Amino acid sequence: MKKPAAALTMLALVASGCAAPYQPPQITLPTPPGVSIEPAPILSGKCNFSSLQEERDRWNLRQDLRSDPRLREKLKRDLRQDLRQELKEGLKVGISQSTPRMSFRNPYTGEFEGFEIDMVMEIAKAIFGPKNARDRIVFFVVPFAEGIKRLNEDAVDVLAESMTITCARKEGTKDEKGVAFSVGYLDTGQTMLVRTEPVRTEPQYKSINDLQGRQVCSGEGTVSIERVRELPGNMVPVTAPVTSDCLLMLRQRQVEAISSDESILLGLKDMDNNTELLNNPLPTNIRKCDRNKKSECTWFASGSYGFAFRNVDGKWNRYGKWNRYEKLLIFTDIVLEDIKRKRKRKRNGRWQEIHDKWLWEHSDKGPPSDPRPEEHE
Amino acid sequence: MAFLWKATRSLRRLSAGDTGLYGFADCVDDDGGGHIRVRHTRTRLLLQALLVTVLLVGVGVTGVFADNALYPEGREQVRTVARLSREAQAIYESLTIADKSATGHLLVGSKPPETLWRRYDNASDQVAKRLVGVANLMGGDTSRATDIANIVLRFPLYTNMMGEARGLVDGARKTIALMKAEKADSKKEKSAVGQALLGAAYMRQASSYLQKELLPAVMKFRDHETDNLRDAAGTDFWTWVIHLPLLLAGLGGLAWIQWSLAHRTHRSLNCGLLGATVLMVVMLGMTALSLWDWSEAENKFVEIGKELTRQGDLIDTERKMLDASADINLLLGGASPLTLNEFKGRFEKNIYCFKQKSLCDAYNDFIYEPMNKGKSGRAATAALPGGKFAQKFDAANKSNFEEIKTRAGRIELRVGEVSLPSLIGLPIALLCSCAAVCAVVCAGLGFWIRIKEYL
Repeated sequence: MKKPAAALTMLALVASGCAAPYQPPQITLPTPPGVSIEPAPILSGKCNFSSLQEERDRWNLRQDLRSDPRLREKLKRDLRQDLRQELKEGLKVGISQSTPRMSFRNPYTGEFEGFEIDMVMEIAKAIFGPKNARDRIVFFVVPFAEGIKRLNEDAVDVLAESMTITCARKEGTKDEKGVAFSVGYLDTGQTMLVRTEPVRTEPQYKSINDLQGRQVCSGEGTVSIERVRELPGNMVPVTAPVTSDCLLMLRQRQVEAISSDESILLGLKDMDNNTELLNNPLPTNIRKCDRNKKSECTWFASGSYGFAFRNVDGKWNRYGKWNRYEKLLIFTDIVLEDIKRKRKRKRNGRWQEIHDKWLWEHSDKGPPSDPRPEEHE
Repeated sequence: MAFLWKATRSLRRLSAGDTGLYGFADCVDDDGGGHIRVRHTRTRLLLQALLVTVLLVGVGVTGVFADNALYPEGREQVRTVARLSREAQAIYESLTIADKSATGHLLVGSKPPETLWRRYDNASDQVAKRLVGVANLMGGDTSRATDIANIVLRFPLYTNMMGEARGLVDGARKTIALMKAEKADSKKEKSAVGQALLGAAYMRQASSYLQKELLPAVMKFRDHETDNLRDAAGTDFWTWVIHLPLLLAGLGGLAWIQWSLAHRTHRSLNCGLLGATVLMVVMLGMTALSLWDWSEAENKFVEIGKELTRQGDLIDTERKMLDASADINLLLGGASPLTLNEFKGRFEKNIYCFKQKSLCDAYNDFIYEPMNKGKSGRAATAALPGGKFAQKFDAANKSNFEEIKTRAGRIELRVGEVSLPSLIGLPIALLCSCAAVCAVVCAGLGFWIRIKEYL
């Protein structure tokens, strides 16, 4: 039935001289899966007063626990004992597997490597001992945007995903509980990565002003994209589930820049030699160089990365009544404090060794201090 | 013209009272209106002659057209559509094999088996060759051309992305091997690892493009061609719709003229018309026979259509298995955006666990559980060629693949078996000519004698 009707229609069209000529379909270069252009803003902002007060109390308590050397040693011993018993399945760590330098799976060895992996390894060594550490860590690859959800589902004990300590993440949302952060393990700041043109060997864009109205890509669920929105110049935010997908888009000329923390962008630069970090100093009104060793830097936002832990009831239990997550958090704080210190007879502490191994050209000032809650974004 | 002039003259004579007619006398009316009745009779004779001629010509022409619709174009169309449908399925399968082989590189570490890229190359060559073959069969069908263009234009995008990935992954592998041999700068090694990760990102993008754009385009093409095959017999129906009533009308017309003449002339049957009627009855018999064949062919088309649908289901299962396998490669190779549990759900949906329980159990034991315990290395070993999961997967895949091959052979056989309606065009044309000769020579002569009597 269809054919004669179609044939007649075609015949009629041809006869009337109106037959539409064949048009080949338009095929465009695809974007990586899950990319969204101008996504809805995510929750961000300063801490509200009630939670700020609570945070201050918690911060003070943790400072006290760490500052007394004898108490710290006792705590470390007791907590190690408890955690060895409580973490029977090992320490479950949620990580990214495609962020070179910070946390990635080496395709040739199959092993997870990077700055964050080495940091987590220090914690595991302190709990399980140096010989058993590697075997007792269980790495779970978790998409960044899913990290807090997985933590709250108890799928992982700790998140090590280059997560900036922010009030919004601590407070959570109506749908998602907030998390507790360890002390910071890396100070970093946000900048931009752009293409260098192969012929000119110089980037087409030298400063943020050159990127006016251009598409800028960041990882989905990160605060980076929110900071891009706040920049002058009406840049068009684009997000990809994995930050390395932004690099694909940059190569395919689907975006003009990638904006993320310098520690992450250095890894992306390793992936493609034809890229460059923006190197012209920023105007003073948008520059954030307080954690940068250069006084004139290209960071327009800065923060500290912390390990995220589950915050079961949103409150801090009394000493001696801590749950597993609180114990792990306090223990992690103590370990991070330990490795940040310079060792006897050695120029640097373990933190610096790891930093030099993975982030030798990263322009932070050194081991991060524990920022006060009001300093959090 | 002369005939018309004579007819007009005879009419004039008739109107003057020259009514010495035999056989038509009862039709004559003396009250002045008689000439109208006589003229009516003669016109009726002329119309009857014209009707017989038109019907015979109509039957002859539609018979030839019906035949042409079925043979050779009909058979050719069936063959083309069946071939395109099979080609589409083969392209589909080759693409999934190519993807599985390419993404396998994400698992293999420093020493990839040679076979992986070779399998990818073979599969993508197969796709390219089949696309050329398919393009040659395109004909002037714009809808088919669009379907094919959708594949032809997308395929290079896929291979370009995979080519980019291949260059990065292989280049990085060589650099790392060199660095390790020379114990050289670890910074360069880190850069090489970064390039390999970029290669993995390209593979993920290519694989996602294949699953979301390219395979659906092939599936659409395949479905259209399978539908075309199902519809192929229906197109012939319309030629029969015209031919058969004309044939019956011809017979009816001859019978009516025969009756009319016999009734009016009180004569026995007109031999010419009788001969033409007999020939028309023979034509009717042939047409009925051909229609019988046509209905047989219809049934065969429907059966082939069903076989192709079943074959399509099997290929879909195959495709989903290969998708699942490519997903495992992406997951273990660190390039999947899915979480382990999301991936498990997708795997179970793709594999239909109720049908292939042993494969799902193997997935749980050798992939999911080790991954859930953070032992991704163990899971990767199981997924690599020769690994415990890979063996189970290959066994399941092999049985599915064998069934696809068997069914493909069966379809081939059925297409060859289709006996299209008997060749009727030439005999009908001949019979029509004979009938026309009978009608014209015998009946026409009879008519003419009668008509002449009026002249």
